[in-house]
Amino acid sequence: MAKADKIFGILLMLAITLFVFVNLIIGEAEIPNSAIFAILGGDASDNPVWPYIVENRLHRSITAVLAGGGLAVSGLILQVFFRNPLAGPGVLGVTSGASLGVGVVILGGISLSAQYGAWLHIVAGLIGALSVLALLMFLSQFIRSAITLLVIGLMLVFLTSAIIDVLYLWANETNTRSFVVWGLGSFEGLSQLDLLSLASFVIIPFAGALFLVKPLNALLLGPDYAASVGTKLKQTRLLIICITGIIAASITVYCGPISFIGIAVPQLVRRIIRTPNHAILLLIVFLAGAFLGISADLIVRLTANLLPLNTVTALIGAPVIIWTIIKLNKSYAQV
Amino acid sequence: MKMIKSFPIILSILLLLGGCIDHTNDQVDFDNQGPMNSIRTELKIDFAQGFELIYQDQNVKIKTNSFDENTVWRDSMAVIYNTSVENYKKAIQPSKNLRFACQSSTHLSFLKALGAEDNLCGLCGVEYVTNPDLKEKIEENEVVEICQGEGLMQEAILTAQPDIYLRYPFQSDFDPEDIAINSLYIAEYLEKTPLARLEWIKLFGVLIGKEAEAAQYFDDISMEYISLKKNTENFNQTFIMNLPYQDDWYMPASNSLVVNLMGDAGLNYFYAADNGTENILHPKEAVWSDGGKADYWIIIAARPADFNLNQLIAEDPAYKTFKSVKEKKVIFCNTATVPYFTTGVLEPNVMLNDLRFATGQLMNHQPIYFQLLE
Repeated sequence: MAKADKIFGILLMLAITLFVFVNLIIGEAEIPNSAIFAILGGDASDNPVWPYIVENRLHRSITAVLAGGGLAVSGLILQVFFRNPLAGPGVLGVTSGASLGVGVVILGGISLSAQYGAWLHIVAGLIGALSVLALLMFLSQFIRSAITLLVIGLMLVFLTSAIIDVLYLWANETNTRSFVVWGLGSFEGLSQLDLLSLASFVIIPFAGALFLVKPLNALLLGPDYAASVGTKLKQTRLLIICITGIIAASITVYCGPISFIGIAVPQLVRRIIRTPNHAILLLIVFLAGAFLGISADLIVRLTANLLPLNTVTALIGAPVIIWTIIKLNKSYAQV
Repeated sequence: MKMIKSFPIILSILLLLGGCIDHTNDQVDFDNQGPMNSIRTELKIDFAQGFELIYQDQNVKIKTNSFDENTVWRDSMAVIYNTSVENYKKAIQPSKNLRFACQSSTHLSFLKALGAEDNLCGLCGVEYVTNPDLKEKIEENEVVEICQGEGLMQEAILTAQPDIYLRYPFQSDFDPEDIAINSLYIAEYLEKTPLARLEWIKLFGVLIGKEAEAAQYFDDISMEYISLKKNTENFNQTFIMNLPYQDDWYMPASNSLVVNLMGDAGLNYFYAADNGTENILHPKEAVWSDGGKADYWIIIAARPADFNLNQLIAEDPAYKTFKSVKEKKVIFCNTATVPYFTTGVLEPNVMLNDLRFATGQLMNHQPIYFQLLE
């Protein structure tokens, strides 16, 4: 690992730590810093509500780190696989499948109570996502070209969107608004169990992605070169769909569909560190995505939730993508 | 050849000329008509701000309009007696058999209170109807669904053939007047007090020629409500409202109907300092931190029928720290099981008694809308 890359990685880790800390201490409820540290250390608090507030802030900070990192890694892998710098976690249709599952519950008015309703959203979202994922994995066995798979993924996006449009038509105003608000994305509201579940769905596939380092490095020069150096393309493709699908689906189910992080972060990182080695890129991109996630959440909280999460990520990510497209036109973009 | 070339042009011209149907005719504005002969009860409007009744020689012009700074809209309908309405721009003849299409089931409640629920021929959201008689009529196609989602369906409302369509002012539908269906904006939900909202029954009374019954209904309920209000103690106890969604907790504005209802029950709003007429957004943790100190917590939400305090706490353990939860002073209105949005509009006196009972001011009462969460 080059020295500059090491420094950049360390800076990212420090920045993430700092922003998590800031996210813990700032908020509408004024809690002394000493009380926050005491609560984090397991001590009792003078105010019985403070531990809940600190826990809430901590949970959303961890969610932001995991979600941002996971989406960025997912985007990086897909950009290499499809040789398209604008590919992102949503291109395979898995996140749309998750949205459809959640949409059926919210727009369909299927509600038990707020407690069980939350579980229902997660289960329905996972069913939707895994259905699309299973379909993709099945179809990928008969497809040789990555572009064909990309087109199938995009068509699945259109299909799920069309079904959601039908649900919109028959939903009442309250359910429509709930689904729209869900679609704005949020790192808020995960319980300890949810957080553990999300962490598993992000960290385990990420660990699996580390086994993709060699194939990803080979795919940089194209699938033919990758095959010639012994990369098993079929298995690699299945593994990529599985890893990116699970990460993207779980994040969508718990946080809503979050845009731009998966597309913009890999591009930004490639501008800063020049190594094509995915052993380093995967780690750095995860950290960069995590940093963007926690930054976005901090901005949302500083605006007292007036700016939704997807607005913040779009404000940051859209200029990056525009810049990438301009660079592409000048043939300087790398995949 | 020239004829063949010019044929499309000729056809287009013919289509343009023949395809436009003129729905308008020379109609007269109510205000410019001469006197008509009829004797009706003139109703006074004491509380409601969203409508007025203008009497001219025993005929009535109903005017509905916005009255706060957030929105601007207005509408009107002439109610003409003993003469044809054909010469009027927008008019009906009051009749006990007047056919109604309603955008909201709340409007249906007003009709039901006046014994005119059979006049309904179209409704938005028939799937939400729970009344068995009405459900039967829906199954027999005597009452039809006229909306798709929040939008009006043109063919459906034409099939229903209502004499008048009562709708909310903020939908972006096509104008029913364009297909020769009278419509009137009804915005009772924008009123700031329960009695103001109830007073809209007088508008419905005028439409179906039951002014006296409407006035009697209103007088009976309002007198009881005012009497109950006078007997209410001022606790100097505070309340918060609603439930959060994700990180957002919307509290009603201090001058909103529901807050005024609670005020009439002797409770003080915790967020009374928040000015404005719309719901106020608070971050959830801010409410946990300060709003949790309120004495009462009033929740109006849909939950399973057996919803209890433990299940509320299970939704978010932070609620355990709320003073109202610790002291079991959570007042709950389960909109999934009680007709809060429909019949409740016409029974503010019952709601007030429910609240007085929940806050210990009244003994021996069977609550209908609001109950303490056990």
